[in-house]
Amino acid sequence: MKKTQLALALGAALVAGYAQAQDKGIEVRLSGQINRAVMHVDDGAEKEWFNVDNGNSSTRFRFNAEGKVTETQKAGILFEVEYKSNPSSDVTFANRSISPVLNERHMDLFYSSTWGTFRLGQGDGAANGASEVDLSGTTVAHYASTSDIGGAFEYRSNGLLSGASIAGTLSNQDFESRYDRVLYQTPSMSGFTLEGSWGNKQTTIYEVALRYSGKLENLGTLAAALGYSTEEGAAGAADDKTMGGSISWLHTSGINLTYSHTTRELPGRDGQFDYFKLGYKFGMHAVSVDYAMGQDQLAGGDEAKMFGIGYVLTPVAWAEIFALAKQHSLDRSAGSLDDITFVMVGSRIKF
Amino acid sequence: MKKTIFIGCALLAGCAAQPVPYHSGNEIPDGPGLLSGPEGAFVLSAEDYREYQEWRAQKRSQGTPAK
Repeated sequence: MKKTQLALALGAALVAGYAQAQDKGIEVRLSGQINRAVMHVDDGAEKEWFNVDNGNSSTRFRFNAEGKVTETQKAGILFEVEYKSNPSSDVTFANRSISPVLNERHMDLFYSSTWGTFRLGQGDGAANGASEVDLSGTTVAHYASTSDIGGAFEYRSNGLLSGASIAGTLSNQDFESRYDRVLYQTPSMSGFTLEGSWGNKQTTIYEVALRYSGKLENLGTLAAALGYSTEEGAAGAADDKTMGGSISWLHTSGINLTYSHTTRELPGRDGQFDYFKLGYKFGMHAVSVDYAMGQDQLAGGDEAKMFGIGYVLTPVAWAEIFALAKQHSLDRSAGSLDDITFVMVGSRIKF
Repeated sequence: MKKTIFIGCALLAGCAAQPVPYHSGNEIPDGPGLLSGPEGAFVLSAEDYREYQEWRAQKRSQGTPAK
C-alpha cells in the first residue's frame, strides 16, 4: 500500500513538474561538427595520400534537451551519432575507401538534483576518457589515443605485413568507452566528482572514476582523472581489468604538460601504456610534442613507440585548422619492424 | 602509490583551487557555430512553438494561407 502511495505521489510530482516546465519552456538544441583531413602514410614499402574523417573527434551531430522538473531538479536527453567516411583509424593501403554508417554515441536520458546525476542508456562509461584528460588545446590534432590516426596500419618486416597494427600494439587502453549502462555521478565537491557505472556489452561491465578540474590561482588550470574498469570474461575467460588515469596542467603562461598511464590485465602479462605531452598555447595558436609507449599489449616483449608534433590554429571560435606529423615504431622479441610515418592536415568546423 | 594519490587529492581539496568544468577537446566544442551563431546550437523552445501556433491562427483568421 505504501509503495502504491509513493508511486502515486511521485507520479503526481512529475506531472506537476512537467506542467511547470512546459510553462517555463523546454529548450531543444541541435549542434554538430564536420572534421576532415588529408593524411599521408609511409610504411617503408608503400606511401599514399588518404582523404579521411579525423578519428580524434569524428564528424557528428547532437540533439539534446533539458527542462526543470522542480526548482532543484532537472531531466533531459542526449542523442548523438557520428557519420565517418574513410575514418582515419580504419583506412589502410588495401582499403582506402570506407563508406560511412551512422554509429551510435549517446542515446541517453538523465535526471539530476542536488544529490547528483543519474544517466540511463547508451553513453560514456564512468571511466571513459579518464586516460585522455588534456588541456593542451591540440587534441583535435593529437592526444593520448594515438591509434585514432592510422590505427589500422600494420608494421612491415622485409616488405611483408606483420599482422601487428598500430592500434593493437599502442592502444591507450581507455577503459570500456561507451555502452548501455546506468551511471551515477556525484555533485562536484571542491572540484572532485566520483562516478560509477554498471552496464553491459556482450558481458557485464563495472566502472568507477574520480575526476578533478580546478583553477589554481596564478598557477593555471589542473585537470585529472583516475579510472578502473572490469568487463566479465566470456565463458571460461578471465575478466578484462584496466586501471589508470591522466593529469594535465595548463600554466597561465600557456605552457602545458600532460601525462597518462594505463595498465590492462592480459593473459600472462600486463599491457602498459604511457603518454607524455608538452605544449604551448598563445593567442589563436597551440603547438605540442608528444611521446607514447606501449609495452606487451599485443604480445609479450612488444615495445611500441610514437613521437609526434601537432599544431592547431583557431582563427574564429567555430573553426580549427590542424596539422600533425608523427612516427610509429615497433620492437618485438624477434627484432624491429619498419617505422610508419604520418603527416595530416585538416580542419574541424562546428556548425 | 595510493598514498601519493590520497595526499595529492587532499592538497588540491585544501588549497584555494576554484572548481572549473572540464570540456574534452575531442567532443563538439563549446561556443559559437558557423550556422548556429553565438548560441552554438539551433535552439527550439516550447515558447517558439507557441508563438508559431499563434502566428498561424492569426493568418487563418485574416484569410491568408499560413505556410
